[in-house]
Amino acid sequence: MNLASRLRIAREASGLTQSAVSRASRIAVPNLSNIENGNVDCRLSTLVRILEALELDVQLVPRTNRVSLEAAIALSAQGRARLVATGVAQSDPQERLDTKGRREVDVSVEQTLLNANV
Amino acid sequence: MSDRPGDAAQLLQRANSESRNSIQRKLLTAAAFATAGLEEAVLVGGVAAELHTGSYRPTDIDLVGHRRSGYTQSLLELGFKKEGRHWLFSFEDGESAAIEVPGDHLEGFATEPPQVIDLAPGELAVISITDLMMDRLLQATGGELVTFEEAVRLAVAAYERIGWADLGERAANATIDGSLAGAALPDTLAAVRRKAIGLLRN
Repeated sequence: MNLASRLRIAREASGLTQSAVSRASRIAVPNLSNIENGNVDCRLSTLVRILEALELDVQLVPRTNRVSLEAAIALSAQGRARLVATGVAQSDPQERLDTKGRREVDVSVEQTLLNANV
Repeated sequence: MSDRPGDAAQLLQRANSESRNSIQRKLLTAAAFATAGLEEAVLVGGVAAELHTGSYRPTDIDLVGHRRSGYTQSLLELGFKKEGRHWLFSFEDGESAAIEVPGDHLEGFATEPPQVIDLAPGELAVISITDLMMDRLLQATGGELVTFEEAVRLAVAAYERIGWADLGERAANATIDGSLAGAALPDTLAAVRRKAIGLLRN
């Protein structure tokens, strides 16, 4: 994913519109749109203003898909916190088993464990 | 030289010491199973979703991978018992885990290298979050509300870690295959993303 796409995704993940970021960064919406679409090479100072508006910092990390167990768990906790903050309900395992059952999959072992591991 | 049976037993011992129903216990159990019985194993399904969203409550642990020679014997020696399509393991605190191996490799929709979690000893490969989203989207195109909501949960929990542009390309290409699911994929992707953005803005 390129930097321009990352900026758009980060803004969307922050729940902000381009107008809101435009007001906070004092960068016009069309310019912001061009930056997010990768149509222009923005200056470093402009990038810093966008990041400040998004309340984000830059970290340089190695390109790798390898993580420690602790880092993986931390990301998991981050996801849970966001779901709680946005009021998204936890998925219901019984509902999922019922769906699976309707597809004629044998769910007897999973059902037994679900009942036992409550 | 690696000591697979020893490493697997050590991972299971660590899993035993983790709390009931914790993600740590599930990951370590999956790693123990994979170390003992599988080659090129990748964690998929509900536990992968739990890892990425922190809120999913899986009913079993799904791994794909090639069976090693002596697969059944190794797993029996480790303490797993076969029941139907699952391998069961009982922890000392009375909790049980069920592992299923639904296939020997990731489905064709998965195009990214898995994420690898370093464990001591060994490691566990987990389906990438973008591939997991693709899996959820393909299931959601079947029209089941449960799977659509699961895709939205994943999107909200890990929005900025998902390769949306890549998914968009894959969805567009899927329409070329002429299947009903392929045709519905771009719309499902758009609906999931729209709903996630709406939730993140509120």
